[in-house]
Amino acid sequence: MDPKKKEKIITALITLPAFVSIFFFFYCFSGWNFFISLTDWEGFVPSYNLVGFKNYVALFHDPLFWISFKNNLLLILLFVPGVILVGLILAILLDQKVRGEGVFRTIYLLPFALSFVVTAALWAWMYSPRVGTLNVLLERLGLGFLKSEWITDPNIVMYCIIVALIWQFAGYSGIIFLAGIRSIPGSHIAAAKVDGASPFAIYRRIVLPQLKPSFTTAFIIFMCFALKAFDFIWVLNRGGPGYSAHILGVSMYKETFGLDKFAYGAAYSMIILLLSLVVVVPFLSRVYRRE
Amino acid sequence: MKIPKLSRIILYVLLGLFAVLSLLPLWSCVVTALKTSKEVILTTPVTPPLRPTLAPLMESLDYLKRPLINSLVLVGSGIMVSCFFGSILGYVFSKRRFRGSTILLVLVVLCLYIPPQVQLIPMVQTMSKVGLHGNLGALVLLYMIFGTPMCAFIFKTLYDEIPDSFINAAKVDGAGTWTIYRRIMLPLSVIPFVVAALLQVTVIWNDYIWGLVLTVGKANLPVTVAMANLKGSFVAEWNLQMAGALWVALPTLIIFIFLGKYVMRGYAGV
Amino acid sequence: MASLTIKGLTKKYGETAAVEDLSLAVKDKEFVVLVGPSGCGKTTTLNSIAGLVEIDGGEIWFGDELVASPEHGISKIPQKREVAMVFQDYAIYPHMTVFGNMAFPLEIRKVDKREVEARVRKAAQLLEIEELLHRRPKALSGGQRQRIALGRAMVRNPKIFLLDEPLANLDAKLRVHARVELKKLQRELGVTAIFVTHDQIEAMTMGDRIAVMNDGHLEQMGTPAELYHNPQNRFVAGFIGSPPMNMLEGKLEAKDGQPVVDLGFCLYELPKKARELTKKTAASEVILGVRPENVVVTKESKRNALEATVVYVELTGKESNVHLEAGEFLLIAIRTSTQDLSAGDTVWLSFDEKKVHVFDRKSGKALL
Repeated sequence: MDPKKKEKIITALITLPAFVSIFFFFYCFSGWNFFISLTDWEGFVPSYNLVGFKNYVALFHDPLFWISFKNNLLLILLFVPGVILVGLILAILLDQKVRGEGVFRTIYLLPFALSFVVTAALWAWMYSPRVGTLNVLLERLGLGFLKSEWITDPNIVMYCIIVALIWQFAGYSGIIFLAGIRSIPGSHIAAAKVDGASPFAIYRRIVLPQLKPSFTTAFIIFMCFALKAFDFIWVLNRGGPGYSAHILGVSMYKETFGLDKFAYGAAYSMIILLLSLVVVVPFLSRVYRRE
Repeated sequence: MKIPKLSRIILYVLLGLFAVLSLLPLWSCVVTALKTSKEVILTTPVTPPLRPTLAPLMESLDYLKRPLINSLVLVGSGIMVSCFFGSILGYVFSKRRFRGSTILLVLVVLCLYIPPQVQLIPMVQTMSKVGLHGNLGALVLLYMIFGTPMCAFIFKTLYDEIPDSFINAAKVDGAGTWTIYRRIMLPLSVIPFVVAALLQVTVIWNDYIWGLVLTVGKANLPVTVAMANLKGSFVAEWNLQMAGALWVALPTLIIFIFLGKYVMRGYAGV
Repeated sequence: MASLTIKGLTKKYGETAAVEDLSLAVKDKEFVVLVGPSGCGKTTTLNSIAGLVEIDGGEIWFGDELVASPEHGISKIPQKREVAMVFQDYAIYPHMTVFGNMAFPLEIRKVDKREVEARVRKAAQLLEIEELLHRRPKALSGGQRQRIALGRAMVRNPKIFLLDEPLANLDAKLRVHARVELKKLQRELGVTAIFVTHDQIEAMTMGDRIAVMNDGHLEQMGTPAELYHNPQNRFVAGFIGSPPMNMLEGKLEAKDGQPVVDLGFCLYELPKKARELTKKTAASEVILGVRPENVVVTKESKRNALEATVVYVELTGKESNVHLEAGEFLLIAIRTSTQDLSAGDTVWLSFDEKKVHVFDRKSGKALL
């Protein structure tokens, strides 16, 4: 056989299982899910009657959808900038030729090692109104007036969640920015120092502008996380109290597996997919356009 | 002795503060897990137990025994296939490019950003159809495939660091695609495998939603789902809950503490 | 017969052509050097010969065998072309021993183990790296790695050797020594070699014939002497030789029937051999070229000499490079005696008549 053809066939063969399974489990499933969202499937027996976009229309009239959407927006607006800011601060601190840098880095990254169910258990304990760490400590430190019902208070539960999530991701955000800072050629910093720039000026005028790729990466990762988050909130308190901590991922799960409204849940998930694609596709096309 | 500059002092104070904040919930967890129920009420959540006891740990371990084994099985089987597939894809994307390989790469990387919510219903349907729904097999299959995109990306990034001249030299010497992979790439893949495997272990061990959706019955639960149930059913028994959480957290914490540098290589690259 | 023929080779990357319509022939057992500035296409040409790159047009023949031709749909994969190649970074596999590296091409071909051992040892002996055979490459020096790369290329007894700037990563002293060793080796093995470099000194000292490339084209191919004494165009004249040839821009005119070059500040009479020049060519904008060693510097004025001022005298050992300013031109002359010249002196420059070149300013071609 023509050796060139043989090589092509070998390449195809060794990659085929991986490509096929990825294609099936990600892209076929997405298409299948879209199809389901266009049916009227409710209950255990799948129904494939096409009803067009009825589910989506129902979604937009559903108050729960809008509560979830609003909470998701809150998550995005507070969590994403918050975790990026904390990560940036950690990175700048760690960049200062700190003694024991490795130890600090490891400590900051530990929360990221945890499963969301563990984080939920930990913060349920932290936030427990009667015996939880936060309220007890506040009391003991004489700051009793700051005590709160935390996650049992529907008005501030989302904020409690945001804080816990920032806690979980801060270290990860930190190493993204630290890697970015460290990739700036040392000669840039040295030249600025020789020119007489203060450390503050160096960070503001030289380091920060060159961190754009890190900002973009972090933004994409945390945005997509905010859109698909489910584990933490569900295990914490099933999205409660009531519906006050429902986000799109939580509502989708509830409608699908709690109320057996599969087509409706599929519509929910397509919205989540759409929002994620809006964020990711411009980013990926810019990164890979050059190749 | 030189008095350290004020700014350095502030630096270490800040670093220390963040360290305390990072460790506070974990510390509280460990401390509480070692207390008797009485002590939990009597002492603050951050003070160490006066009379530490292993009872909550033992009790929760008993409850989590089977799920822990389940999760170990999932981790072991999942990393093997996903790392292997990932390494081959990474090789092809990095060293054996062809027309359209960039598009395929983008499609694979895109998978990392596809929310699981769109896969939930089709996955349940598929697993039911092949009779795997409810038991561990479904999760085994899932983790094998789902881990591949991330592993492919990690391998591609790390394989890019191997000079192209290695591949060209092997080609001129007569080595075909598979031989190059087997005799040049694989032997140089120790670090990529470690990084990919550690990341996969973390992802699989920590996963919750798929375990929740695809397994039924106490014997089949991965440890995360079991622990979440523990939280739900013993609401007031904090020491038990914290002990359970500790069992779930321990393996990944150990990985991050002792093998942290490999983990960071994987995450900083993504 | 290990000859190599390239006809009309073209390789494009997107819109730009890295190599365009290149044709050259390499004889059996010849050592040919491809030389040119970065980006001239020499490495692309080498990679095309090896089959690492698919060409867009032209033909490549190994002896009587056509190994690449897009028009005929032929493109032999590199694995089957039976050439040996040494890369700039040597590509020594870190996870194998030196022996393992050298044995690799034979193992792939499933050569008998004893044969492998014998061939590797023989090559190692020739290259004087026998003691290194069981070491790992990690701790070895650049010079040692280069020899391992050569050894790996040699064990297959190939007919054609391709070398991509293999001396570029060696330090200066080692490089000079390696040049000699490499040439000796090629002679001993009796192989055809194609050697790529950007260093024209390397090209001149090593090549049986040299192919000067620029911007994807072949400028001229010939022996070192041919290129040095009879450059066919301005580029080759300026590229070969160090210090480079002096280039003076002027107008070609006829004065009393004799061809002269108007250099602005004076007129230079061209030698007798240029008598027919004004009749042969319509070109008027020309460049007068003369090599530094053919510029004679005198304190007394001479016939057909240019007046110049000494700018700077550079002592290079047994000679000195004298930097001069004549009119608006800067020239370099090479002299052996230096004491009598210093910056600011007024001198007269005459050119060795036999060694003067004239180039068409627009096309660059040599007119004389």
